[in-house]
Amino acid sequence: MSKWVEGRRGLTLLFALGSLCLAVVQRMGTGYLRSLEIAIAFVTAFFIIPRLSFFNYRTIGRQLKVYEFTFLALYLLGGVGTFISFYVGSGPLKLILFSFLDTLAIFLSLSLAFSFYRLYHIGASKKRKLLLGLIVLIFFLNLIGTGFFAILVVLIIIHGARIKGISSSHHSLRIKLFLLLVLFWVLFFLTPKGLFISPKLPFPGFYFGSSLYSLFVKSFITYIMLFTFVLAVSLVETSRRLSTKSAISYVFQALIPMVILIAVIAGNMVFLSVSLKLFAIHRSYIGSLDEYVANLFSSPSFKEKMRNGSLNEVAQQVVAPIAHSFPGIFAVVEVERGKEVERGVSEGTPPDFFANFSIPTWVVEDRLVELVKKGNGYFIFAYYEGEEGGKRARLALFVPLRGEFIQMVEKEYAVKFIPIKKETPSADKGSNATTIIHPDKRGLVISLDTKKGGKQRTERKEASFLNSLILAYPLSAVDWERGERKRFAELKLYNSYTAIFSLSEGETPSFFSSYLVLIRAVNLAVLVVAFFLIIFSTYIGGRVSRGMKVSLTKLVEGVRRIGCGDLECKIKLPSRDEYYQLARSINLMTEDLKKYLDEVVENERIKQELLTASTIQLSMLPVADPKIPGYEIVSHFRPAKEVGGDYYDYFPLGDDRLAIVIGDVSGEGISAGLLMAMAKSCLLNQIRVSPDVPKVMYAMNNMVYEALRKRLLMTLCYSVLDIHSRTLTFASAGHHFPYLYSKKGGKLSELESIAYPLGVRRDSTYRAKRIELGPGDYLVFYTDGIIEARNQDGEEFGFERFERVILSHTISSAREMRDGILKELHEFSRGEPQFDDITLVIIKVKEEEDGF
Amino acid sequence: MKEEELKVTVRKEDNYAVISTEGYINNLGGEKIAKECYQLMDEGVKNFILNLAQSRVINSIGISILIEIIEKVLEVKGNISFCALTPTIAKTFRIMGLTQYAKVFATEEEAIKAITG
Repeated sequence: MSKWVEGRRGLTLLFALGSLCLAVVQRMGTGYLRSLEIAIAFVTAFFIIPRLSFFNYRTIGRQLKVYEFTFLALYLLGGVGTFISFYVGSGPLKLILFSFLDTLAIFLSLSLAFSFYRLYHIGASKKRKLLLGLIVLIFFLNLIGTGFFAILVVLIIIHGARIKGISSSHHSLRIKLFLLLVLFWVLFFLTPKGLFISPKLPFPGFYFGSSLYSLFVKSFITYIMLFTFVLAVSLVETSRRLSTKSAISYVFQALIPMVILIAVIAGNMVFLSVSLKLFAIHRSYIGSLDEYVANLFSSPSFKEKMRNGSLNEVAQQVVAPIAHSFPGIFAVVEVERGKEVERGVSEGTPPDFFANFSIPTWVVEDRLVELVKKGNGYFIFAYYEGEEGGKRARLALFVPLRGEFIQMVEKEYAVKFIPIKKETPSADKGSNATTIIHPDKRGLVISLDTKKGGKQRTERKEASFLNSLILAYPLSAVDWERGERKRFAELKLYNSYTAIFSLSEGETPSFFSSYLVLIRAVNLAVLVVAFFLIIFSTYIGGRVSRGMKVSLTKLVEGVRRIGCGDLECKIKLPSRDEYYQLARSINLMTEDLKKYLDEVVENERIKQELLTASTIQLSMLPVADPKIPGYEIVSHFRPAKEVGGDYYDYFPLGDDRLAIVIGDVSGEGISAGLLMAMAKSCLLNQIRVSPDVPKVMYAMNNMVYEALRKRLLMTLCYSVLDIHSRTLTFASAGHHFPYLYSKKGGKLSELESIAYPLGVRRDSTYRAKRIELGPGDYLVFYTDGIIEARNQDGEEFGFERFERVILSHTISSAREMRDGILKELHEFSRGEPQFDDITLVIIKVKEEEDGF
Repeated sequence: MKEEELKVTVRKEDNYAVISTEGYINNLGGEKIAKECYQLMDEGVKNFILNLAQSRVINSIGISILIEIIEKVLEVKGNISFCALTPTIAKTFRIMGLTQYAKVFATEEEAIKAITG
């Protein structure tokens, strides 16, 4: 099935068949016809259309284009066919074409509904999809029902060429479309229903869902609606700009066009009311006069009199019944009697109408002349011509436009007759006074009420400047002799505001006045719609700009708070627009900033701690190496970037002994520094009590055991140098064994003393060892910073290299040896960072030639 | 100084366990070894051989953890020995007094032999 209907051929075939079926059904009966049509269209729209190949196009725009143009072509074809069938077609053909068109209309509207549905259903919840689908469907179905469909078709044709908006997934365009749809829908219900019902006009309409007239009305309203949507959309768009800009653009895009529109419509209504008034005047005087004459001619008794009676009497008889309505009226009757033309006139006929009088040829040719000029007088002119038994009979009625008659008309219709002075000298105002009308192509001249109008206000309260608009209408008359039309006066029409907006047809309704009233109703509806649109758009504009302002204010406040250091501040915006994105970015930035600041603070804290620890450490270390006769003692301490915890110290024990301490606290920072301080004070205390090596070691071990956390240790080498006897008593707790270079033996040896570092076991005992020193001997105390120093290849400085360097400096001074070691170390670890503290203490027993 | 994570492999025999390490024995590495040892001790193992052939570097905290292990093993009257140490580590162990309570062997076989008799 799906394959079969794919492609246009299948589709067209399907349509042809559907239409044929419908035509048959339509001939058989009517009741269920509409529902059957709709059912077929439903099935097509929801089961067949989705399977069509072009519906798989990626963009909805492309889908719609192909879709619309295919069906619009068919629809137009059908429409033209139907139009032709009005004149040439037979019954069944017309019926088939009609049903074909109906099916197409339903089909097209359903598929359009489907397209719109597909356009908006993306990403929506099921409930929303359903609701939207329903709304769209009802919308399009209603369009067919009201004939609005044709407008939609036209609009699609117009906009079909650039249907980008539909295919684009851009958010703003979607908003546009949605607004278009929704507003169209809302206004559809709000607009007075009467406007959608086609009036029964005598013009032949053609089938396009409705008559030509309603098409006009509807397209006009559609235009207004579209205008609104564009307005609303432009408002939404301008809402993305700054408030000032949006306000300006709002005024230019929304208010000014709308005000102009309202002004135009209002003006139109004023003109319409003028037309109505003119029409009423025309109908009361000229129309009724024509009617009267026509009736008279059809009466047999009158005909008889025309044939045989006195023509003066006839003329008098014509004038008598209407003399009260047309003051000064007179008649001229001409009848062919034999070869002569006899003429009769009514009473009061001016002499120049029966002496040397003849009805000119232009009157016979142009029966529509209503105002004439003869001599200095202006007249309403009604003319009738007929034949009675092969004899020609003519009747001409003249109503002079002057005095009494003009006053009557002025009073009756709230008008003012103003003669043009140049044309008609105002010497005899009364005789030149005129009225009445034939619509002049030169149009109306608007003259706002002046002082003159003010005067009239006092005379005529119902038509004052305050409650009416005054318009002047030019009057022209045809010259009796020459047949030329010339303007001779103007008619000032006072239109009260109630009359302008009134939908009443007046006392004498007619086709023409009904038509004008209808147009006026349309205008009124448009005006009301426009008025509501202004309110609506102002509301939308206000809302949008207010939302924008709120968002901006919140953003500004938030950013200021963040600027003042409140990093806990979160900017919360209710909308989900670009401002929201900005607020989110700022919130994220604040969070990042907070993290970053925390890091900075932490780093600063650590840096400060290290600095403090380093200061403590340095303050623990001896300021200078002791100067002891017979010995050369030098030291070097180089801290690592982060505190390593090396410690060394000298304690003079009376005049003949010197305690030398070197140690290394595992751990770093404050804790290492503190432990070192504790160690130093403990050492001082213990040395004061007893400087003996085992006792010192015992005390230190217990101190560290108590003080240090688990797994943190301190290595220590404590030794006491007897200056005079040249002996060294020492013990080591996990510390690197000091080196002894014995000049006598020429050997370098380690002063081994194997024990755990301090703090492993409570009450550990340490055995002291004692060695003898000779002149030229060296003692080298050091920490692991030297041994574990690494070069670029990751190689350790190591014990062997260290020993080699010591041995290569055994004939130099202690200072030279120290410098040699440091130089070697520097060269070895060139460029590599120092990871641990480096401590070196060298004691040389001076030889006699050194000055002992 | 590469600080890749320490890998620990345990081979449990009848009356002893061999723990082989690979990598830097620092705070984390030491703890890993300690965890394995304590678990084995809970399982009743008393004799441990630590093969540090693949570990070339050890820091002070690593040593302090090893000391802690030695102390724990001694508490349960067990036996711990190290084997395949680099000269530097061997010397460090000696300096730090580990060799007082733990034996050091050149190879794992020798260490096993010493336990199994």
